Amino acid sequence: MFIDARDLPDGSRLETDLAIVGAGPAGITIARALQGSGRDICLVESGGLTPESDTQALADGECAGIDYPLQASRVRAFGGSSHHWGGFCRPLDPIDFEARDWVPHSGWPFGFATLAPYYARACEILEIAPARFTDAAYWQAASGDTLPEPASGRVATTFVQFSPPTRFGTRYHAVLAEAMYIRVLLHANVCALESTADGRAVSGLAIRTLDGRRLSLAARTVVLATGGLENPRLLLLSDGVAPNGLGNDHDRVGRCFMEHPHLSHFAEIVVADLALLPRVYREQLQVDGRRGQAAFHPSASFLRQRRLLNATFMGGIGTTFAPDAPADTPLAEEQRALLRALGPLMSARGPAREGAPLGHVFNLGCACEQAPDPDSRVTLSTTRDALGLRRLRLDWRLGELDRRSFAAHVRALAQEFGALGIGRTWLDLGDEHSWPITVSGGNHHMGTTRMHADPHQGVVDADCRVHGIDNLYIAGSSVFPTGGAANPTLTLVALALRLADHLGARR
Amino acid sequence: MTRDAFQPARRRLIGLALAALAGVPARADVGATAQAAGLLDAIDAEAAARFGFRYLAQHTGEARLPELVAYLAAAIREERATGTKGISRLTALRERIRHDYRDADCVDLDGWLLSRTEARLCALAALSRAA
Ligand SMILES: Cc1cc2nc3c(=O)[nH]c(=O)nc-3n(C[C@H](O)[C@H](O)[C@H](O)COP(=O)(O)OP(=O)(O)OC[C@H]3O[C@@H](n4cnc5c(N)ncnc54)[C@H](O)[C@@H]3O)c2cc1C
Repeated sequence: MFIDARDLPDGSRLETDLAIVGAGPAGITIARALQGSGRDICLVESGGLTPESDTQALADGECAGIDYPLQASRVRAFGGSSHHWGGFCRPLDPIDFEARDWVPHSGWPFGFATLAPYYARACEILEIAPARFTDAAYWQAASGDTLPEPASGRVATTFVQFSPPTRFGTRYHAVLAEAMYIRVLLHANVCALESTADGRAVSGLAIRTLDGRRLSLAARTVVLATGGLENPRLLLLSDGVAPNGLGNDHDRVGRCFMEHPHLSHFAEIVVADLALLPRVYREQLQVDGRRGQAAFHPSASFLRQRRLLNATFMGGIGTTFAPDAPADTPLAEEQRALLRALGPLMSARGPAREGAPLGHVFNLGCACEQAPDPDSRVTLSTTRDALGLRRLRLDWRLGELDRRSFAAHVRALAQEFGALGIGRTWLDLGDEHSWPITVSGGNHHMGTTRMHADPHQGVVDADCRVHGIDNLYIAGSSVFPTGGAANPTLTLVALALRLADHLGARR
Repeated sequence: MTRDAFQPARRRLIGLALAALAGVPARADVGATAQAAGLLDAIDAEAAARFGFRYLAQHTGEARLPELVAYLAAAIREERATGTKGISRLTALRERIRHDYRDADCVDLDGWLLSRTEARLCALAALSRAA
């Protein structure tokens, strides 16, 4: 059942067994998974069914570090940022879960195997099941192209799959509308979590609407699922009993904000013979109703040997050089010269047929892992939003290991392209010790309520329960201790399913 | 993946040793020039020279045509000895270059990441043109 909070009388007091704050992919997944469990669920959502500018403005904030689009990187409406997401899906790699002695603060409390069954279910929710993330034989058979075997051992291939993309707000609207024990409260902004006097349990939520109503919702259990930036903000805003904010006894809330630094235009690969670069590497293939594209990532052994962070590279053909056309830029002139000079050493095809292109340029984009850094963080600003709440202040920082890893991977990839005979790479890495101003994020907000068995090192435990608080849980990528180089939504939906299992069993 | 993949270019070192044993003449001679022409006939030497001059600017000690010829000839011989039998000179060079990349035996030429062997082939093209 859907209820608009603006239709409720000011001062209304509601009750529920389980309050889920935020109806994005995480919140909706938990509500659906617990539907039919016999418990009363209230999904509390700030926005309406579609994005509205006044609600969206609540997502604004202040940047102290690398400039970041706080509003444009999330959507505050029923369905959350899935209104705008691109649908890129890939699980984290097994090494991403490990404590790596060269990555400070790394290590999940459990490994890939624990999440594997939830990944399978998450793929169904994101409409990409059964997924074929590592099944090269499948993509080879499906495309009819022979896929190259890795040559150097430094680079591996994975297959990104694309959700339609699932828009949670529309795809799962009907099922929530019909669910017996689920109420979805729209236009309901949670302003604080209220806790018992000893601060060991949450008693309910303080809610406001933009038209001035104040409501309260008493809940036996609360799940915070407001996204990786808003989860820490709400904990920090909830300072009625705990002056530093809920779950923040050890000053961990908001710290270790991580993105996937995205870069492009750092490398161009000239390819003489496209037959050596199968289609699935350069475009999305539609097979059996699913879309997929190959991506390159460093092998686990290379990461270990060189003590680097993870990365994902994908590319597409940008330019095709006609045989006799003049080059229009100095770089194109270089690329044409290189193809003329070394083309025969790249392709075994022999002389090109009359009029065939001289070659092609394969452009790469990269999404990198960022190491957790306690100084890369979310705090509260002194400015306030339309509800009178302190806005968030993001100080996103990137470090030396992040940058060094990226540069090493680009070189390794360039060597792999040479070893496979695919092409020759022109690199523009700039200053390899600092990030270019063009670095941006991928709208992935991770790490700000990180998971760790030790309350001094994390905000939630392995069950996603906030340390020291019996009935408060967190869902979403804010619990990731490290973020790997895979887009986060598949993993956060898998974690949401795991949390739902835990809550179901806890009854 | 084997550990071998990260080991230095053993084959290249053997190749250089072979070239040294072959008694490389100190200056270009007629035989080397002819051999160079043979090595370059598969590629566009004029285009390659552009990259070769850059390599020579970085590796001034290598600006000796006979040594480059000997190096490349040894590389081809070695590929033929250790790889597929009876392969053409071009195929052997192609294989050698792939191995360079696999072994991370590469050079950086104004942004281009090239295999050492192909960079030397370009250098040969540059020297031949200069000659
Ligand atoms: C342009 C864009 C492209 C993206 N592309 C991809 C991609 O290709 N692949 C991928 O994996 N990920 C992608 N993402 C990220 C993806 O959208 C997020 O990972 C995902 O939506 C996070 O889900 P969530 O439920 O944790 O949070 P959100 O989707 O942010 O949902 C949080 C919900 O909480 C609500 N809320 C917030 N504060 C309050 C409050 N105080 N009270 C009540 N409700 C509140 C919000 O309105 C929202 O509905 C993209 C994001 C963007 C913006």
